[in-house]
Formats: sequence, C-alpha cells, structure tokens
Amino acid sequence: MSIINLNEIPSDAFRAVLSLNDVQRDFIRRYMECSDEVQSVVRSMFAVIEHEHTTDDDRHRALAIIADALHLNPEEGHGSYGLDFPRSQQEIATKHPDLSRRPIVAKRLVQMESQEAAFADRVKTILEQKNITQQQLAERMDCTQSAVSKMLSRKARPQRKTIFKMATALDVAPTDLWPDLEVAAILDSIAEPFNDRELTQAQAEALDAASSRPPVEVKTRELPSRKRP
Amino acid sequence: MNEPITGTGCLEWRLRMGRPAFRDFQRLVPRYSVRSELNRQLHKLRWWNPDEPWVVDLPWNWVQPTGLAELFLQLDDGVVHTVRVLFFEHSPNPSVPTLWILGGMRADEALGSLRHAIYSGRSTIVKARAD
Repeated sequence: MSIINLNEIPSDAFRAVLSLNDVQRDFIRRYMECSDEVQSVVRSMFAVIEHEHTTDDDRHRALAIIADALHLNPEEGHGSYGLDFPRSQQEIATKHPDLSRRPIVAKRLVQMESQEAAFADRVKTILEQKNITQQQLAERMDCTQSAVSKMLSRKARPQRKTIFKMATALDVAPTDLWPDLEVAAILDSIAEPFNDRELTQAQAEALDAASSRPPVEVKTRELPSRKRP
Repeated sequence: MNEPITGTGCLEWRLRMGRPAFRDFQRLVPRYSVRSELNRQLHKLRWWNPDEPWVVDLPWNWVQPTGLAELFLQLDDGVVHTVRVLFFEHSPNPSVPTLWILGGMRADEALGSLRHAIYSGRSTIVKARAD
C-alpha cells in the first residue's frame, strides 16, 4: 500500500509514533536496519515470547535472539558475527569481565589439564603393562581407535561414563584412571535428590497402588437437631 | 543442510558460537566448574564426521527437518544430567569448514515447535550475518 496523501495515514498511527520514547525509537530504528530474514526472526521471537505455552527458559532464549539481532548488547566478537569458540575459551581466564573471577577460571583450566594429563599417563602405563594396543582397547570399548587416540593425546577430554567404560575394558577401578573421581562421586551422591526426575519401577508401582486404593471411608453421624423452644 | 557431507573423515572443523548460545549455557549451567566441563566437551565437535554416529565419545543426531544437529553430553552435575547442544554447518568461506554452536538445553526438555523456531531463528541470523 502506498500513501501519497499524508491525510490518508490514520491519526492513531501518528499519535502512536509521537508517543514513542527514545528507547522505543532506537529499537524500531535497529529493527528497520535488519535484513528481511532477520526482521522475520525477530517477529517470530516476539510470537514465542507471547505464546501461552512458552516457558521461562524459552522466553530467555527468545530475548537473547532479539538482543543479538538488534545489537542491543554490543560486545566484542571475533569477526563479523559470533565468536571463535576455542579462542573464546582461551581468553576467558584473561578477559573475564569480572576481575575476581579470572583466577578462579585460570585455576579450573589448570586443574582440567592436570586431570587429562594424569588420565593419559595412567592409561598408557596400564596399556603397556597389560600389553594392550589402542585398537584392542577401542574394540573392547566399542568405539574407534581414533577416539582412544584423541583422549590419550589429550586432544579430547573423556566423559565420566567413558572413564567407567574404559576402566571395565582394562579391568581396573575407575579411580585408577581418573584423579578426583572419588570426590566427584561423593558430590554426585549428595546432589542425587535434585537429579531424581524419573521414578524407579518400584516407586511407580507403589504410586499406582496408592492411587488405586479405595478412598478412606470417613464415618460420620448426624448432629442432633436443635429444637427451638 | 539436510544431506550428509561425505568424505570429511580427516576434516577438522572451525567452531564458532553466537552470543545467544553463551547465554543459554550460562543460564543452563550457572556454576563455572560445571560449565567449563561442558565447554571442554564441546571442543570435540572439531572432529564431527557426518558419516559417524559419535563425535569421539559423544552421540549426535540430525534434527529433521531443520537441518540442525544435536549433540548429547553428560555433565558431572547433580542438577543437569545430560545436555543437548544444537549445532549446524555453515561455511561462508568454503575453504574453512565451519560448525556453529547454536545453544543448548537439558536433554529431557522436548524439542517442540517453539524450540525449533528458536534454534532455526538463530541459524537464520548466522546465515544472514556470518561471513
């Protein structure tokens, strides 16, 4: 629709534009500068935010997209858009916006490297002692030799369950492979109640039994009626 | 990218990430000690091979029909047990094969239509802006 005569513009629209504050005008300006595809994403994110089934997490996810699309929180990046992931991880210890966090981050990175080094050394030693090749270990773990090689050359950090799988494959205790594993297990057991999202079979059966039980019968008796004098 | 790329066995991908993905992870895993574990695991995506079902020791799947992929990783955290990480391939410069990490959620959260809209929206912005 093209409007040649300004009088054709509804007065409500004029009033709406005039009532915008600076922040709202800036928001609209940024939106108008976006490409059609990005504008469409922004509109669909507003729809997500207003959807009746949207969770709080989804609302945050959608808001993060709108902020990103409209450059509402401009931050230093690597290149025209986004961040180089490995570089961002290297920089986090030295460029964390909260100065007090930097030593904590650096300490954690050192700890992880130390854990990975100890793991690799221990597994290599056991492989030598037991005369097992990486290929044989991979076959016992049902994974590729390349995966084993990456973990032993400290290019890839094993998942916790991989450590357990490897320990079984090597017939050793998991704590023989990974430093601090016992401490982690204790912490996990403390945190377990929070992780209890699924019922066990026994719990489910007990719940079924309880819910199918007939309601408790409450015995009542009529109150004596009062007779007015 | 719905069609699997073949012949990428020895390829090492460049990994990139948008700001919304960082926000996802900060909200999902507020404790840095645990988030650092997640970040460390994500480095494995450098060796993603569309022809293999595992990235080192992490399972992954296509999310049809979006062309996105999901990677599952377990955390040693009592609150978030398994995380689903959404990623996709977009290489503005074909000589630098690039994977984009779009964000993450708990694996027990359903990937319904609203979340498809969210992550597809993120991939649209990457395609529109990355060069």
